[in-house]
Amino acid sequence: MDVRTRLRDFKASIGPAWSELKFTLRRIRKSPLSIVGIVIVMVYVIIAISAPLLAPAVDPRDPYAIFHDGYGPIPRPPGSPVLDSYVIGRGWMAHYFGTAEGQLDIYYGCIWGTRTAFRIGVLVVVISLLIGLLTGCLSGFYGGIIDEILMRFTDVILAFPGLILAMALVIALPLSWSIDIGFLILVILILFAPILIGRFLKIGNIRAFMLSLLGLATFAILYGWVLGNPLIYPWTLNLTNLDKVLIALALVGWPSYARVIRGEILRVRQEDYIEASKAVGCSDFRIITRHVLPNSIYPIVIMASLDIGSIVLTAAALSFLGIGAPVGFADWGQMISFARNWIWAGIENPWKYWYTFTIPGLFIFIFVLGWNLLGDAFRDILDPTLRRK
Amino acid sequence: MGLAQFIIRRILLVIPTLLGVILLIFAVTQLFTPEQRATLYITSEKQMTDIESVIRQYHLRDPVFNQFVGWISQVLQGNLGFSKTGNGPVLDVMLRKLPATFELVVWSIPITVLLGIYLGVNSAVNRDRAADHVTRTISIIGWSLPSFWLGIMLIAIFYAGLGWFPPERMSIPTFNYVYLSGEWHHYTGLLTIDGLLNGQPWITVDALRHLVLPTITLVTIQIALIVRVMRSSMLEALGKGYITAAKAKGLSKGEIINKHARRNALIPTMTVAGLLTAGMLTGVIITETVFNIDGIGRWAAAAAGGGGTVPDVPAILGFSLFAGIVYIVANLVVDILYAYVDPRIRLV
Amino acid sequence: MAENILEIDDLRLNFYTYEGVVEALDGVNLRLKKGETLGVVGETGCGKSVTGLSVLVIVSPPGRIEGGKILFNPKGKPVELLALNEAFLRKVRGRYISMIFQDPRSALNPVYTAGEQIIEVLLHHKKEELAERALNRIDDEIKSGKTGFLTNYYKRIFQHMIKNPKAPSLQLLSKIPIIRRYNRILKQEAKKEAVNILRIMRMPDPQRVVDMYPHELSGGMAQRVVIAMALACSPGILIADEPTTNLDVTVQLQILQLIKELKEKFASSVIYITHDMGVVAEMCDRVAVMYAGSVIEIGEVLEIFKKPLHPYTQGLLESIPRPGFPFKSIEGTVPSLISPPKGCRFHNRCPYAMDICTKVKPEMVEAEKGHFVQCFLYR
Repeated sequence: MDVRTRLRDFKASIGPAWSELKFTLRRIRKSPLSIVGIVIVMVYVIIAISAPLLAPAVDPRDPYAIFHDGYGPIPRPPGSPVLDSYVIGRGWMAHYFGTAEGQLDIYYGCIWGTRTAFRIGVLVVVISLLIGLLTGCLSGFYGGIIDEILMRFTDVILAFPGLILAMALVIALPLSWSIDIGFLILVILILFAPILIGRFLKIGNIRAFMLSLLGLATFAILYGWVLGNPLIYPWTLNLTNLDKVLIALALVGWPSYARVIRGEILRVRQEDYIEASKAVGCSDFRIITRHVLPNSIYPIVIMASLDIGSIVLTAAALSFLGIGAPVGFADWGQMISFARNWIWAGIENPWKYWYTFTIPGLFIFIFVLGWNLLGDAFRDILDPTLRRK
Repeated sequence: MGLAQFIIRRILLVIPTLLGVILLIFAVTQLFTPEQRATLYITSEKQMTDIESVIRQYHLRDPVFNQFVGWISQVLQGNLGFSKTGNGPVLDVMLRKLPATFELVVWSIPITVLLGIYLGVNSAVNRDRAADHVTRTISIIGWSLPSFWLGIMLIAIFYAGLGWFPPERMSIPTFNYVYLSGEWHHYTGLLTIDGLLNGQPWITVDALRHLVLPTITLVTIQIALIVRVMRSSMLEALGKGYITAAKAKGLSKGEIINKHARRNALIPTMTVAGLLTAGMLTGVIITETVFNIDGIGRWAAAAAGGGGTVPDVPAILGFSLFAGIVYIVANLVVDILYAYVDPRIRLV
Repeated sequence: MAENILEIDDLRLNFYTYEGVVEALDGVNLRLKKGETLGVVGETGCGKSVTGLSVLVIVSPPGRIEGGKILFNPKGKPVELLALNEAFLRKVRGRYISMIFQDPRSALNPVYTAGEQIIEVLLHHKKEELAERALNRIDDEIKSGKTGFLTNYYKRIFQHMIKNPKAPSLQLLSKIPIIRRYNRILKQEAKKEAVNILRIMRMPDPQRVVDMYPHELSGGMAQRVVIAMALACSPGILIADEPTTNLDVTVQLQILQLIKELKEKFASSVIYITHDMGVVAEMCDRVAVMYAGSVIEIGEVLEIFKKPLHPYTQGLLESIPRPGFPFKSIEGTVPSLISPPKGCRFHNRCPYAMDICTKVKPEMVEAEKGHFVQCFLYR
């Protein structure tokens, strides 16, 4: 077969996918808001990546610590020169955005805060997504009592006001945690091995899963009572306040994903093409991965991109309230928290120090705006029923 | 079945849900040590010094069932424990702080929902034209604003800068009159209404002036939720067959939009509005903190460890009970409204 | 000779979509005589439904009527429907020309009862009549001495309404809480009329049905409600867009018989849009066959069945499956209407296609008396 026919065949095979992509791109171009969203997110990504260039770290061991230029309580306006000689020696001439209380450089905090924001946003969303996806899939696909239990559980978490739950979790989580890695690996083995064995013995996935839970329970009892909890391979995890915020937000956030994916799976399950797949003899796993998931994924993508913005907002709010990042850490919410004192102390002219709260606030606002625009654009573009209106 | 039957059935369903919430809260208390649990039963500072007698009195080391009975009887008598952060018995603290939050919600929610519905309908009817783009842009911007930042900016501009609208809940003369003069009757606990009922309209005006900024903050941020759901459900309704049939009957555009499409589109919107109200009642922490309003949210935040100190267990549990009841009531109201608007639901 | 109550001349309609411009109607010509039932047949996508919508001028974007004339002539003074403004058209719709739809349950708003939806039509178009009846009722009440607090005011309101139903003063009064109760009386009269109409529709137990919601009705009952809504004001033309396609066969028969009966009672002319030749044979006096956006043949039903002229019609009739005969179908598929073929749109499937068929679109000619066809075979 010569090259020309092969090229033609190739183009024909990717034809539909290619034209869909072009269609999507054309729709993106037509909507100015989505372009704005994409541009904003790109700009922030660039800032985050090039943080060491834009704001060279004064203390190379801890770049997230905003440097002090002295320790005076009165903020200085944008453009003020750097006074501390050590800092000047590290390459800083002036405070571009001014300083906050304690002479923390606002520009530095905002630039490195971008990295913090991405870290929090992306990590929390990914973790919540994974937990929610797993739970929702189990719930939606297997139904019955598993579904009931899991859904009641998510109901309870969802019913509770998120911010308060997050705060309680942050307090409750310990600062350092001894995890036994060996134990963890054993647990995973015990959970999954029976499924493989079940396949081999042909006893069905649910039965295998139940079997594995039984095995796990037996193992836990043996391990705890009989053997007296020996540590197989201990590992101490030290959690900073910010890490605790991360975990807390992830634990509060996963139920929404679980619900959405469960709803989508329930909807897709009823469609005729699933019946057709079953009639042809597809296995459960294949049905889930090749039919159910691709059709239910759109709302999740939209939710995730909208969620990044809202997670960053919540984290900023927590930092503002004093939970979360410690004072001096490069985090946007943290930098605004100083303004709290003024309101309560009743300062006569907070506008005098506008730069201390307006600039970090703008960073937060535009970041969240970018992700929200992106999420909205995804919603308009990806929803197959709305695509061709 | 008719609407009345549905309502009765739905109200009866509240009981098991409430029971579930209570059981859950009780289960959580079992996670704490008996000393911590004792704080749930005491009603004054003095008792804090003699924890042991409290433990003995309420059998806090006894089997679970006895404890549950003891705890439930306490709760039903109104004793939810003593709150450190509130300096008083939990129930009293909650009742004291609730009016401030409630007043804020009573003014914010109707504006958010009504304005949101109007903008959502407008947006859907003018799809992809100027009005639609402007509405969606403004509501996205509102949703993206950090609430504390918006609050601070508003205070800086309108209070420090222009002096029009002050933060907090009341000014000093109002405080003196309401709490110290002895001539004030708390009819509803809401200053705006009580001011008129007490014959002191200047208090109503004062309270309104203080409400402007927090209300603007809340409405600006939350309106996007209503606009979004109203717009999408309107678009869905407008594509349905009965709209074409209504056009064929000769109805005017206004009649079609308002009578036919909107009523159908209101259904999902009501769920969102209900959850929004419940969420606001239990969660306006940031706004209350920024504007220094002494409401339930701020107290719950402090109890959960807002200051970084030891959590105030009775306060947290009391607040959980409150939040649970608020959500149950909100769901009940939404379900009933749902059945009123959509007759198909009454079958279920 | 019966007059034409409706004349459609060279109707053109385009749909502007993302994929391109769909030329849905490419010069539709149609005549509807007074009192007859005209069938419009064609396969899915030939444009028959959208022709029906165009008569009422309720085609929604991305569709847009690009040209042509629709003359409506109920009483000797013809009106050009496409030239009327929206306010006039709203007077025509539902009152002089009505439409019934394919899926009865989706044509009814699920949150209002059947009765409320029929009352809506009555209140919109027949306010004077209802006001008169209400007035008579109030006069009776006054005579028998049962006067309420506001009875005199109601009397005056109704008298005013009979003279000028759309008066702004009435619109203002309808917003004032206690005075606006006169609306209730109107609605009661309208409800009585609605029950009446449902009875004519052969609806079992109309008093109960009036208060039922659409999801509580069966398919047949729902369709009767839709027909009731359409015929409530005795329109001159009823456009029926495949009203029985979604119903069971037995119910189908009932509805067809109902429409036949009602036509006689209400003296309407009916345009019956369908893809089922059997229904055409049963119901219609004349039939128009549509293909890919234009009417290609039109004539008396028996004529067309006995002697179909257009190759498409011939193929259509031959393809009706009959036991004992081999299965025949028309070769090829309907062309895409985004860039439709030049000339006659059927030429790529026509066994008699000539060179001219690929270049020029044929005109409608009267091949035999009352039997028109759009094909170069009959020039």
